[in-house]
Amino acid sequence: MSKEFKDRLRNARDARGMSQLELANKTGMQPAAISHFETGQRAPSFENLRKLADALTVSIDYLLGRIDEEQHGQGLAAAPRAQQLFRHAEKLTEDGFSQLELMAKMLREREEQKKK
Amino acid sequence: MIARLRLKEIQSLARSKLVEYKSMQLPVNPKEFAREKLDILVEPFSTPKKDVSGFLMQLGNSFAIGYSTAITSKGFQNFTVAHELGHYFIDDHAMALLANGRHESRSGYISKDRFEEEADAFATEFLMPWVLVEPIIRANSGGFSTIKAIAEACESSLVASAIRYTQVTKECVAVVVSHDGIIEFMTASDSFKQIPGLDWLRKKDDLPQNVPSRRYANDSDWVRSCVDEHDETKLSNWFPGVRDRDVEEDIAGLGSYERLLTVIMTEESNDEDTDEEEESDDYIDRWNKGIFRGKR
Repeated sequence: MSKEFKDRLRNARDARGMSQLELANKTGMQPAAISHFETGQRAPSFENLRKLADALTVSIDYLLGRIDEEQHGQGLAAAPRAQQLFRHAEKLTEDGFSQLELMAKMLREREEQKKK
Repeated sequence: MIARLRLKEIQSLARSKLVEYKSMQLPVNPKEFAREKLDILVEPFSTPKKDVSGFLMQLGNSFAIGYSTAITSKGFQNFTVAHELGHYFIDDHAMALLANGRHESRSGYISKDRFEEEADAFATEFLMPWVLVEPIIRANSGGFSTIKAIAEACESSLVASAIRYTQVTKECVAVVVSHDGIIEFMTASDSFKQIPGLDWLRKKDDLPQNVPSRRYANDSDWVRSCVDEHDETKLSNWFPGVRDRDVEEDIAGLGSYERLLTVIMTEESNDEDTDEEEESDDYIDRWNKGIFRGKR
């Protein structure tokens, strides 16, 4: 369980002046779930992480302590997850690699559209 | 092996997601679910390595699921996407998969990794929720025909459907998946597991020599042709330690998955009573010989 996650979740919520109840309402989660995440009693799913990150307008990578900027958007090279993606792609054929690159590009475009 | 309580939690999670997103009806379409309900990009990819069946990608706050087209079965691809949804929904998978550096899935019951097993369990319930599968089982005559009916109604793979069937049926049935005559795994219904003297077939064991499945095991053309055969044999041909009885054996080639699916079905065991009597006789015999008294 990442220590950064519980600290960053609490700090991001506090910085926005939101109570656990308000964050729970905004994400559709139970208030107890927010409390459990912040005390490290429960590890979030990707779905939880996405809802929390969207509600707090930060990136998932920031919540997980993988980057220090609250916002994602420094390009693929700045995203540790994307670096993993490219290591993963080493096992693919040239065609598969191209498809994977295309998927990453499409995801990036989605991210940019969300910011507009 | 997933603990029973954890398995129930994961099955409950899968059902709750179907209800939450108003998708509790057959066939569940995991690709459409991911795209339309979760705004996840879902795309096929090609790779010569068939042991990488799918992956979950995260970039910023967006997600994508890739599924391999190396195995052409729609049911297998559905299972792969549902498996990746399992990684997406199950608590603590995010931390674990990211901590591992990269994540590539081997869906399809072969992996022994805890996270892969949990994602398989999620996918099984998600594609074949008990409340919707139970009427299919009631409406069919049992065995392989029921498994095919589940696969057709749920648009799931034959293997996944067979495993689902063994989890819920009261019939005495076992499922064996093999590749080139080598066993990859075996699973069985509770009733089958209670057959006295059963020696569980293990991963990497050879298929027994005298069983009908053996005839097809190394015939790659037959395996790739997606056909099935019905035969009969003796249970002791599969499990030498058991009291003998007739079994029905259904064998199916799984196409580009290149595996052989064998479904073994027999009458429910009546051996328990006899064994209890024998154990009782044995106990009295040993008592009379003073074996227990001698321990004092």
